[in-house]
Amino acid sequence: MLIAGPSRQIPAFGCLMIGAAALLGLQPVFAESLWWHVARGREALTFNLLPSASLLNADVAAEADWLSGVPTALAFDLGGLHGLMLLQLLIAVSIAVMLIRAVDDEHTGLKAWLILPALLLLCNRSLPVPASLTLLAIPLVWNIARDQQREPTSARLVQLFVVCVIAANLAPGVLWFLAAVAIAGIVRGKSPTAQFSLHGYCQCLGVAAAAGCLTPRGVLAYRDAFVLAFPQVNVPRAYLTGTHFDVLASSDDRFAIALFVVLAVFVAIHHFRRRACFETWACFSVLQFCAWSCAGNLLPVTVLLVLLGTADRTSVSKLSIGLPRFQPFAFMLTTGLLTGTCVLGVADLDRRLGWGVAPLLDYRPLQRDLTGLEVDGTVLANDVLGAGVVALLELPNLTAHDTPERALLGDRWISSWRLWDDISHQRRNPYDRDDGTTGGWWSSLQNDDIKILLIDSRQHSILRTLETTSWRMLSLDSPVIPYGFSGEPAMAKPILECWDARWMVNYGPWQYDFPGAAVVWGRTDIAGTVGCESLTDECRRLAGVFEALELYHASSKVLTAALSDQPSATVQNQLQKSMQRLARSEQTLASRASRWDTWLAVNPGDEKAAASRSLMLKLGFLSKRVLGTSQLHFEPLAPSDNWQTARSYYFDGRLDLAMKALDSNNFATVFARAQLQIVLGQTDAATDTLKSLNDSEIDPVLSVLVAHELKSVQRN
Amino acid sequence: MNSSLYSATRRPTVVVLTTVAVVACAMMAVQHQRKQTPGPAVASRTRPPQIQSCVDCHDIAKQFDSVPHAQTLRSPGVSVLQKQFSGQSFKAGDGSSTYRFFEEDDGSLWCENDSYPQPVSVDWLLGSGRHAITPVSTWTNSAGQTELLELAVSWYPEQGLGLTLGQSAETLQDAIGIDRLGKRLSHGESLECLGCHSTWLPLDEGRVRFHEVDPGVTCNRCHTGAARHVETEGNATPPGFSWEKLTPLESVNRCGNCHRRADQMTSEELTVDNQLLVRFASAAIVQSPCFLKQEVPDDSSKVRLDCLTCHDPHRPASNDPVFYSDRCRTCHGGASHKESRCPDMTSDSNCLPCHMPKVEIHPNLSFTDHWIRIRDLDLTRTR
Repeated sequence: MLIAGPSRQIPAFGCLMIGAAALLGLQPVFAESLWWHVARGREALTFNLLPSASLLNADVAAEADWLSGVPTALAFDLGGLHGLMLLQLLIAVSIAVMLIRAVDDEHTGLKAWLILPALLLLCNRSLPVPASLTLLAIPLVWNIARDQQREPTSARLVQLFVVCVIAANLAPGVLWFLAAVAIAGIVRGKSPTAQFSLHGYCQCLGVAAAAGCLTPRGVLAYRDAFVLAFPQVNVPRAYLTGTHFDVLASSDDRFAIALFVVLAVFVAIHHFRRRACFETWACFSVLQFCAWSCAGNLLPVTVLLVLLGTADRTSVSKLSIGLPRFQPFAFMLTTGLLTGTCVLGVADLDRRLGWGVAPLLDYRPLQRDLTGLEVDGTVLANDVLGAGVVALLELPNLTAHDTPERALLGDRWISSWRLWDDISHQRRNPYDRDDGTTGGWWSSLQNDDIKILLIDSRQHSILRTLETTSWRMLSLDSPVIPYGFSGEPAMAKPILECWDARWMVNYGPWQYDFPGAAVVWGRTDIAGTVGCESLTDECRRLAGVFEALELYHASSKVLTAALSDQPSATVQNQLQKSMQRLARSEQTLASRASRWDTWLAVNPGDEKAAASRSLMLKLGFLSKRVLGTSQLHFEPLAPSDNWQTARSYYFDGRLDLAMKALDSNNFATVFARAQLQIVLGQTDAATDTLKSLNDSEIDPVLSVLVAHELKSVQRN
Repeated sequence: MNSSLYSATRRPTVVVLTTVAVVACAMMAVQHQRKQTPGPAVASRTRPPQIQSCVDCHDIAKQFDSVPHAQTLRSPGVSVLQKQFSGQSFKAGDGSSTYRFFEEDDGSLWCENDSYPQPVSVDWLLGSGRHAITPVSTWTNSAGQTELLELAVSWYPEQGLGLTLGQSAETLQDAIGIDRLGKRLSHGESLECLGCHSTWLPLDEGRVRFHEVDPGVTCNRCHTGAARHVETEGNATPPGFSWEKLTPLESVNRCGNCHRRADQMTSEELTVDNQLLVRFASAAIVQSPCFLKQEVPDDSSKVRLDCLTCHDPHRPASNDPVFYSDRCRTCHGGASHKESRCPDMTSDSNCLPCHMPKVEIHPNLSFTDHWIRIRDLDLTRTR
């Protein structure tokens, strides 16, 4: 196809790109702001001009893109999860078509170098939420603004006006539309076939600017767009660390950064070869600054960069710089490999070929936990995922407090950051900060009538911190975990039920059922069903929660269940880390970890070294302080073939075989069997084993560990 | 050099280099903008002025070392009070559990109990000894953060060793392992404890740099912003430095940052039936009718009711009841509309036993109840 004549190249190339985009869009929806925008869209469909303010207690302001949630809401209300996927596919294909049409250069090579990284960047992130509407609106505005005539006609201006009004109300970031008009006008002016007219240019800009004000937010829409594009103007960068408002270089998405760098280099080379004018380079610089100063600008800047990369029609002689000639076969191979990697992924990544919605977005556990709760007040979530679910559920007596983006726009970011900093560091009582303000979460939560906290289940440090506060967990399995205040009478029953559930999962007969490639609430893992390794993201998430709560046996139950289905280095790694934490907790409790848990915690091959004090110290299983006394009794681990075998079975998830391998009757082995019985859910057998140990004359360390486990198993 | 090639490449090269330079400068500007986020003043990144800086100009600081506030946190190795623990033992509950303190050859203090296989070191002593001294042991958790073990046995000035307030023999009897030795505090609780017993508590990612701690409550702990004051040789008084312009509530709450504030308690806790409230004077006093009904004068020379009315934190608290009763009579004595109508009162009566009695909240601890009110003799009903 691609080695045929030019007339056949474009359609073939376009089909390839559209196919790649469709595959890239064929991934379960994972955008954390999904439910928030569904809720906003539903509010907008009732002609509510202030959808966000209606859903949040802390927000009172209007918003420019008040309709941006409508497409998502309609897709979900009309088609459910399938509707969301269809919308995502439609957007991905539309982005590909938009890129192909924008790059109407005769050289397929240029198309390839520009479109491929842009496609991979745009089609794999945050669909189908409103940001994608901005990506589609920018080229529309650009094309209208790139009028080839000296002065834009009235029809063109009206067209520009209407499109900008619709875009401003439907898509966030009105500043990007203005930027598209501004850049298109400048670059167009340098085209040999067009003549630049300052009057016409100002007309276009004025029309676009005026159109952008025709939103419920009015002229402040530009202020909001500026704040979102350059948040460091309002908020010191230290408060933005770890969010997508921080600089691009700090983002965890290294793949996106690499793609953007590749795209920028291609565009720069193209400009260089074509001896682009100063204005083009200036626009290029400004776009680079926008992208690198805030990770949230990456996607719109990518689109503008592609448009800019092909806009300069200066047809002066190109510099004779040798560049690799485009090879069709090589291009197809590269496309195929990159696309295949994205869609098939690896089992330990959450995103790959599939259908539905990511399990992290499952709102049903929270719906179960919060519905019927007899408490009125506000729900404080630490991210948009939790706030979005609360808004989606439309609970009559509970309202979400705020979202990160609305907090940034409403100048509440810093106070919100400080509150969560106090919560995560357990600073309840009032204290003086070194900037003269007063901290402490107690007063803040009282003032805002906060009755429920919602914590993302992946925020393990906050989960650990809250364990020692008066906020108690109401759920174990929800992706967003609700906490209620223990002093609230209405919370007593759910708190106790959750407390019982903790025993059940850790010491009780509960066992985890690893779903494998089966459907997990609306997510069909297509790659898994055709033979790829099953996804383990959900079981790792759940195990992480258990580990944060120091429910190490529950964590082992989950991870070994996954390992029994398929081997996975990532799961084994997480299991070992969990065992290390368990060993540390035993060391704290009893001054030394049990031999079995130490055995599981060390790396294979370290068994002999595990007998050494230095390794035990390094792993934290012995306290240096303890070593300072003369009463230390340290029994080094003795390598045992049976223990090695048992450990291998354990990390393969074959706990029954591990149990059989531990056939010795020395006390350490018997205790190891008791641990395995707990993980296997054999509570009664574990109780008997521990009782037999308790009645024996065992060393003081083991005596403490046995007493602790027996008390926990018996719930005394 | 080929001039046409040179001219063909020169302009684009200049533009490219300029572009790169502009972007790089912009990035550096953004990167440079990064500032540290604020944290607790007690754990500020820069060391505050130490008491020696204050002594140069303020006589009141000269004897501050002997004041209880300055002695609320001490290392056992340098403390003369180590002998109060070393070689001593205490039997808890029915005597089945014994806590023994001993000293190693290097001077370190340790505590052991039958239920825990190894002894634990006593790293710090909390409390001036006016009420009690509680030993704590420190370690770092799996996240590298400092945590404390508040040992089950404390020292009391009159009784010697006894159970630490907040820990009971029954709870300890049922505890296993390290929990029999004392109460484990989380990282946040540990920092809160240490923060109120020190002037500077430097942290490294949650780990306390104990070798740099400024133990005890000294000048900068209450007069925040002292660094600026010292830098300007006394000319600047930053916000939080001076107490003169504080309202009574603000003044009490400043003390209450450590001694507890009423606005951090629930309504169920702020009742006369809550015996533990007696421990928290600053939370109790703001419940007093004396406090609630006071008219805050414009003239600071007139007496008002807050902690400083009766207590000078730069000196040990007085034990003379006449001193305190005289303070009461400043408002409630003489021909004033606040004159007391107490039928039992004479001109030299001691007001405290009826209106601010000592309440025993622990076998070894009594605190003065700062909820000043009219109390019946049985102390169970208020009129």
